[in-house]
Amino acid sequence: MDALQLIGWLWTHGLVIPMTNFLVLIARLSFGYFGVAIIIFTLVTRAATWPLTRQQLQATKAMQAAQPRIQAIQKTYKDPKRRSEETMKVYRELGVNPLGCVWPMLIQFPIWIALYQSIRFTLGVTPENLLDLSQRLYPVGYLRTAVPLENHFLWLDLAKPDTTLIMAVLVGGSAWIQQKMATPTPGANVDPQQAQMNQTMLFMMPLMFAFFTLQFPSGLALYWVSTNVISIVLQYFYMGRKMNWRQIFTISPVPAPAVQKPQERGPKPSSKPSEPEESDSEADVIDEAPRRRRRRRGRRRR
Amino acid sequence: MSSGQTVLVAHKSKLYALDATTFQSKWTFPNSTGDKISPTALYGTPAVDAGIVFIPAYNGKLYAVDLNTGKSKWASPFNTGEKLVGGVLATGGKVYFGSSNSKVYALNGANGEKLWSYTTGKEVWSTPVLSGTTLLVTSLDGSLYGLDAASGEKLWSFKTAAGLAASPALDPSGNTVYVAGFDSRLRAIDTSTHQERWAASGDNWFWGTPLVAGGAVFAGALDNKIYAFDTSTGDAHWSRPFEADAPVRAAVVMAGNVVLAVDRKGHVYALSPEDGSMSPGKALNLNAKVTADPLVLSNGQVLISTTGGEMIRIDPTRLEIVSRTKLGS
Repeated sequence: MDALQLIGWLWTHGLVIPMTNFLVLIARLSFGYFGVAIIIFTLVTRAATWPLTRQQLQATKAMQAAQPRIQAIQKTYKDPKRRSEETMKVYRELGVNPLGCVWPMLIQFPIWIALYQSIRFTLGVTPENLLDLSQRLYPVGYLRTAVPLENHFLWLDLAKPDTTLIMAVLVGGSAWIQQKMATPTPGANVDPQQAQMNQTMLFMMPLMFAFFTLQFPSGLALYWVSTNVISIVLQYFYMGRKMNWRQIFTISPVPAPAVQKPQERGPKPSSKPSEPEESDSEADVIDEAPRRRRRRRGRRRR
Repeated sequence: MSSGQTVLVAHKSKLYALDATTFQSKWTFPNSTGDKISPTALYGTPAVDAGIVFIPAYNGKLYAVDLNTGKSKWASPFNTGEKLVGGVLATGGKVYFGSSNSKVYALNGANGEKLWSYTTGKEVWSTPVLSGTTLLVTSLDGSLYGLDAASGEKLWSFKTAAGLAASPALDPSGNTVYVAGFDSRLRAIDTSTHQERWAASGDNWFWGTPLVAGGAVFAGALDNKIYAFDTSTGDAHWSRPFEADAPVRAAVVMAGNVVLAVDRKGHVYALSPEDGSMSPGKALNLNAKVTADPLVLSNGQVLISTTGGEMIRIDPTRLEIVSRTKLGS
């Protein structure tokens, strides 16, 4: 058995088959309703990955708390390298690992793929799938007599994509709220490029999942909605119920990219890399805009 | 399936009508020149009645074409809206079949007009059989239904512990119907009292239609075994079940004086109906995946179609390949 075959064997026998049997077991306990089984499965998965989720929430909380200092750094330093170094210094001081937010996301990917395969087998999308399922169920009468399962849940046929767009909206909407809650509120002095990137991510990910919902079995979409709702609830309670809902449901405007004055382009020859630089040109330009507006308003009054 | 001088073999989304002697193609459905028909795939066995071939397609439509020409006989196919996996029973000008929309339909074979429909609890993936005026049909809801063939009214039903995908098999006397299902049990049910006479267990699901012959009922199972039970008592007919190399999804058939079975990996077994011993001493390996039921031809040979689109003729007594043809070649 070569390495690839071993990985394939481990994937099938270590993840897909146990997951399939577990889903069939929960479905049997839920009177054959596969939709209920997916929701219970989501709760169990989230409970099992709680240590990683807690790490993610801690990182999110700490990063939100560090925002005033990060913004100050962004205002103070013009050089991206220096800015990054100072930011990392703050994270180190606070004991925050920015990658702590990534692990729970990464662990979700194999779960999604294995769940997709399990749904195809379990709900018998084709007769061949059901034939394969017979070879994957453990030799326990309680599991083997559970099939076929009820693949209808609410308005959904869990084996097929939802054509009503309701699931796409629910998946996209819940992903957006969850991400908005996790994204630190941008301050006035935030780097416009960073803000632009955050905004793009805020829309791209939910849109991507909404698109996937239209392609994949709605059972998988039900998992996505359930896991997003659980994340929202966990985030709400973990953040000490101090969520600013108005802020979450507000689409924050992205600061316009600042235009540098020709004479301010490039580092000042006199500035020393080891010393903190003075207020940089970008910050000045951003701050200049409201000043100009105030001047114009004053002229009009006069 | 075969009808007189024509053998009908389905592969993927095409049905081939072949000459029963030469195996030359007479026509294909859909044909390559005109019909804008997309049947997606053909799972169910077609049926022939009064010169019309009834073709159940995975796109949920039942097509009717002329047996000699392959031309459509109805103005439009009958659309059930959900995939058709089971076969068709066509007799006396009527067509009976089930759909994944959980319904059993009876149509007028001449024009495709719906006569009645009956809704079961789940998908119907089997082929109905007729016992006098009662239509017997199994459903994935785990029930065997006895419906009035004329009106579609439910006369009786028998509930098992799990889904039934295999078609029911009638005893030649018509007194007993055998159903095998996902509860890993093969049951004998009295067609008069609608009570269970006996039930025998396997180690995994039964999917293929059982075979009733010579006082025994034979069935392949997905536990890689072929079982034989006494029709009157349900006791084991053989000292032990025959062990195949792979799950047996296809129905077992009687070919000459042997019980012929094909497992999913394409191993063909010719077994003695008396004791389950293998006739030539070893299996014939087709080196191809097989899920379709074998077809016994009028000359005694057996035709096996593989999932790869090969059509293999076998001499069941010597268990040798007579010919091997690629469909569409």
